[in-house]
Amino acid sequence: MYKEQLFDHLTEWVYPSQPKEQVFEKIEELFIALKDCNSDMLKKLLRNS
Amino acid sequence: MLFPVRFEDLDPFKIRRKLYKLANEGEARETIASLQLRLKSHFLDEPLESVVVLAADIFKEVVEKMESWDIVEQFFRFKSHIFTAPFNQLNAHRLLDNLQAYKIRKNDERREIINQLKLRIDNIYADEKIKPEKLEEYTNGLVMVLQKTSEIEKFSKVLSGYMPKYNELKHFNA
Repeated sequence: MYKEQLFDHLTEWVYPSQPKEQVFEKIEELFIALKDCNSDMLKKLLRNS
Repeated sequence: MLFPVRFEDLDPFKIRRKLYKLANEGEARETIASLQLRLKSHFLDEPLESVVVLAADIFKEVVEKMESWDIVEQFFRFKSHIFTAPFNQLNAHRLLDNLQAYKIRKNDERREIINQLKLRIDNIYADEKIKPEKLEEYTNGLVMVLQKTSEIEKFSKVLSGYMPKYNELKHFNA
């Protein structure tokens, strides 16, 4: 859920000119790096993206 | 914001570091705010500005550096002995000094009261002269059962009504 929301936000507002596949790949890497984070942390990530 | 302007600069581990920093700062702000509220609720007349400064100092010196919330709880438990001046004259180090001095004073008082208990036991059996190690054993037994200094003090005043006769002392059980 957080991953999808972040993808939508980043592709629409932060990196709109970037190919979506590249954004998707980076998000996958990011979520691997954040695998120990709880939902509060992921909410914080979304709020500050 | 956690994400860089240029997509090329996006590094997941940098974002992780920034996210944790943000979370820690958020936690610190919440803890300081709760300390401020607690201080203000105990000391309504202190100006808010002094409360804010003291709360931030307690957080930095006690919660962060000493990693102890228990000490903060002790500040409030013994507040009349710890917050001994207007807040603008207090800081975390002074509170710690006051807590230390209070504990030393209470420990001295406890030692003195236990010593009185021992002397009273000794007086009860003055004619028989009980051995020092036995005296120590009876005193320690009572201290372990009574625990609180105030209870030890109260009991030592009515001790003679409860202690067994000398010939029954070998069955002594606190």
